[in-house]
Amino acid sequence: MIKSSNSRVSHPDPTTRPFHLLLVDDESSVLQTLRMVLENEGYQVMTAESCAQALTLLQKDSSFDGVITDLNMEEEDIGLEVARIALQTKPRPVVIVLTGFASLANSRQALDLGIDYMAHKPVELSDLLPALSRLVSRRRESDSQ
Amino acid sequence: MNKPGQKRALLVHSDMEILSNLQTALLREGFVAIVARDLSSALLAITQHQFQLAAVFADLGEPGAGWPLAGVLRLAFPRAFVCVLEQSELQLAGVQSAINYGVQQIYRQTTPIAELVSTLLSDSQRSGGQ
Repeated sequence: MIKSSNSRVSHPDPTTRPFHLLLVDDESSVLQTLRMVLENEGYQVMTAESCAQALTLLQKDSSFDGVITDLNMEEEDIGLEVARIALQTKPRPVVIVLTGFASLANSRQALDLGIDYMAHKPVELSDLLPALSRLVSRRRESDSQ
Repeated sequence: MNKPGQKRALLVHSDMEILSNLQTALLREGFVAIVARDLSSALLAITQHQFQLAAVFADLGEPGAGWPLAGVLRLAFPRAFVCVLEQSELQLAGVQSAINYGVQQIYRQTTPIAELVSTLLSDSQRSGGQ
């Protein structure tokens, strides 16, 4: 489930190439809705419906600028595996984990992995979109240095 | 004034004794440690120095007030290792604040100083923060 928001969010810079995102969630409705929202924000989005599918895409294509993954899919906390593999990709993408089942243990693992943002489900777009935009800008700055 | 190549740390805590102990321990490890007891002193230090390491008390002045400062430090010094000191047992909210403010690690401030500094420096090196 995704909560909409009336707050304005900043868009990715239109003068640069679209930010290439991999979106991973086993709930088809969440996947398609978020994809639509993110594409509307100017992102180029590829989707995966499982950890296994996401890992295949990450192995084939290392050009993702960002990976947004659900935490619980085929198995509990399996999204951390998507995050771990994504964080090993060069250049390192922005990694965001979405979860409705945050615990001290899985959040601690996420911190130790170095993920960039953890958002709660139902996803609040007024939190997620500015955070994504901020992380994208920071990544673009570090790429240009 | 620090020597060329000497690393600089920012320590932000309302308790002077903790600041002093951390400062001494970091000095032994080759750091010049600048201390700040409140938000305004910390912000002033950010405008005056470059830091390779920063430790901020989570409850600076009021509960949770240290988190935004830690986030600012991460933005100001993207290559620095920024950690937060928590007074109590780690809570879910604290860990999630750390992730979302870009803080690399959280430590309990009740950890003995030598152990705390050793862990902090080891985590910092692992994250490439120095």
